[in-house]
Amino acid sequence: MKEDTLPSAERRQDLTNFYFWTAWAAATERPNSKVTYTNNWPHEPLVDNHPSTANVMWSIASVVLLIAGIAFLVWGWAFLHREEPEPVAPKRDPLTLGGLTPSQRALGKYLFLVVALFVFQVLLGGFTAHYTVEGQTFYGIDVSQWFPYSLTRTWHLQTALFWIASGFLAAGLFLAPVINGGKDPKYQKLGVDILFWALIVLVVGSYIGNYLAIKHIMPASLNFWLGHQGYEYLELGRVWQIVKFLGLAFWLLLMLRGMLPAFKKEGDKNLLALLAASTIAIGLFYGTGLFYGERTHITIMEYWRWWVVHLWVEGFFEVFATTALAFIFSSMGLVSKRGATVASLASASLFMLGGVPGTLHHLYFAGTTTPVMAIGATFSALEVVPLIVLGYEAWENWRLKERAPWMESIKWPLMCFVAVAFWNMLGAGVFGFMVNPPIALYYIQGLNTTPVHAHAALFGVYGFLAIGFTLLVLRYIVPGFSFNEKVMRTGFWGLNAGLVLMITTSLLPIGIMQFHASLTEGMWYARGEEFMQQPILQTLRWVRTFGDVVFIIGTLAIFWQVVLGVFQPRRPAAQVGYGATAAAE
Amino acid sequence: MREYKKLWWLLLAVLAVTFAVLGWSGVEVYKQVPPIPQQVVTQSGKVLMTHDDILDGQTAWQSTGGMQVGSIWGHGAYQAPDWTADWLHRELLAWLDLAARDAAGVPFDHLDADKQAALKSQLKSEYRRNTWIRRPAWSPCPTGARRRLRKPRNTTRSCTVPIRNCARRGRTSP
Repeated sequence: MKEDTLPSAERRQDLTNFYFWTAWAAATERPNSKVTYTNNWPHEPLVDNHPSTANVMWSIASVVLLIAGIAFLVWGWAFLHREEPEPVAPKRDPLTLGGLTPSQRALGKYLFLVVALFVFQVLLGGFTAHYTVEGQTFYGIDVSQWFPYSLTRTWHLQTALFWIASGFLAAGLFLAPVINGGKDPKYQKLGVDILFWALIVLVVGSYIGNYLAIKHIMPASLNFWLGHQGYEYLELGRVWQIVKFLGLAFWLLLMLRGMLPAFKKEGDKNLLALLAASTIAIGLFYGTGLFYGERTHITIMEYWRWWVVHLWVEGFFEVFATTALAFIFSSMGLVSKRGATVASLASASLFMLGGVPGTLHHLYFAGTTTPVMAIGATFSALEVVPLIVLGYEAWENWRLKERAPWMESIKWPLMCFVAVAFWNMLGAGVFGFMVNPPIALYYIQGLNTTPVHAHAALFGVYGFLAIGFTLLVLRYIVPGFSFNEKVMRTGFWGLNAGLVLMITTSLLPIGIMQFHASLTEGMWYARGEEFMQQPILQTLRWVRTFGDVVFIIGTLAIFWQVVLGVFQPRRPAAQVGYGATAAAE
Repeated sequence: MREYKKLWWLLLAVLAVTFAVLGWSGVEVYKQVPPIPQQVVTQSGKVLMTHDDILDGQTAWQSTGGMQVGSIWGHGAYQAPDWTADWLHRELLAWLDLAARDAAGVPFDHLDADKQAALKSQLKSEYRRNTWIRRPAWSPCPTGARRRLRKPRNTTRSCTVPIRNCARRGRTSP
């Protein structure tokens, strides 16, 4: 934290009013009830803040439901699943036959943006983690006055969202002309270019806003609109949030212009319809983040904030990812369209069943009543069910490599999709469930167990997915492109190993020790200075450096691979290995 | 094709049911939010803060980066304290100390175990008891509560009360 985090004495006084009120709600019983407004959170023995009866009962129910859910899924799968006859793989990759459209060729800059922001985000992450060791300095240099923890952490999170979203946008924009029969809708390239520059304006503009806000250069009255909302994942000022929403709506427009004509054609369009639906949902549901304002009650703000964050990551993104991959592989002629459609539709139902009401698992202790906790606990247990059995999907993706000789050229994107399934199982499924039952979250909410889940699930799943999409698009928009094995091996395994090390050698051990402290003394103690500044915890925070360095090496390798691809001199057509694409050059 | 149809209906049904559940919960969330009192007063009637002061505090908190340094109700960054838990704990310790001084003229630590237990028990009931009073703006406030009809922002929350006797005496900025 920087010195003088809030310069105005009057505002500091106000700040304590707010803190006082949140503490009042946490210790005061609801009318006609034996639990407090926050369902007895935080753990505080002095005022009998212990887990409520409902908390324990619904936690047990959620574990039972999880087991039942997995059991029924396996039964349903075993009895209902029919192995589709695999189509004979085409001789040449169908995606290279149509030739590139101008809008697809314009995607190189998106790919560069993805990896550039990725590098920026990872370095910021290491820098921010360093604050947990040294406090205000970076190897002795006092940096906190300019780039305090609050700012670098804001950028770390915002950048993650930006680069992952850019990867998704690029994948969608690559697919739009493919869906449209290999040609651009009118002015598509112009639209793609405009969206890119709008994205740049959004990133730079919102970051300047964050900086001026945290530095308190910006007047307080503008803070919410242009500076920093103060809410995790939606830190950007409200104006920038609206710009982002408009950008997503514009992306949706570009996508639909490619998709709508395809609906007029003959053939089975069910998979396309699902892809279109998930695209629309991604575009529009960001809008729910506009349903609260600066002075909205914090509980109501939380409700809408999680509509955006949760419904995206555990609902529409999952459906979009599954369907987009199914669409790509069936367009390549590797899987039967019918099989891909059935699987996508069924998994969409499965994801949404747990995912939608599961939103409430973020609100157990945010000023809500017991029924909200109960619904959150039960449905979010179901959320984990499909994740646990993702091994099958991983194996299917893995196997695709051998389906045709030309699949060798997209081996690395496929590896990323296998990593997505792995981290979805471990990071979202296992670590997600670790913090999910109300009784667990009661003690470990806000401890280092949460970043275990956050890193393993957000980077592990959506990070690898965005990298996979980026590499896939790269391979197709650069004719004759092939991956550099050495660079890719370093990148892929560096990222995976770095993530494993970060979690197992630092975050998880710290989280478990904090859990013990929270259980024995109280939440205040597990987060307090006395506990956190013990030598052993200080050492564990230092140890994180090793994993982080491995991860950074992986990041740089991926960056280098994309730079090599995007900026490689275009070779004359004759030398290009993929004949059909070369013809289009 | 028939199989698709079933799956589409299943998906639509899932979406209808799940969004209904989420929507119903939203109504519950809106109706049952922890009240932000129109004003917080001491037993002697001194106004400590108003509804607007608390919300001004919320915006002040946002301007520091809000959830990006420390957390509220467990939501936010893992570095720096959870402000709710930390505030509550400090307030409780301060209450015990003030109460000990009021009763026996010594700090809480100096009391014997029985007296400590008695004060702790008093602390629990003082804190868990809800003294917030929900009244329509036009009706008189009960005795003990201060009346405040000036500019009621929200028709139902015009006056309120608490607050523990001595807890807020030594209030300072952190």
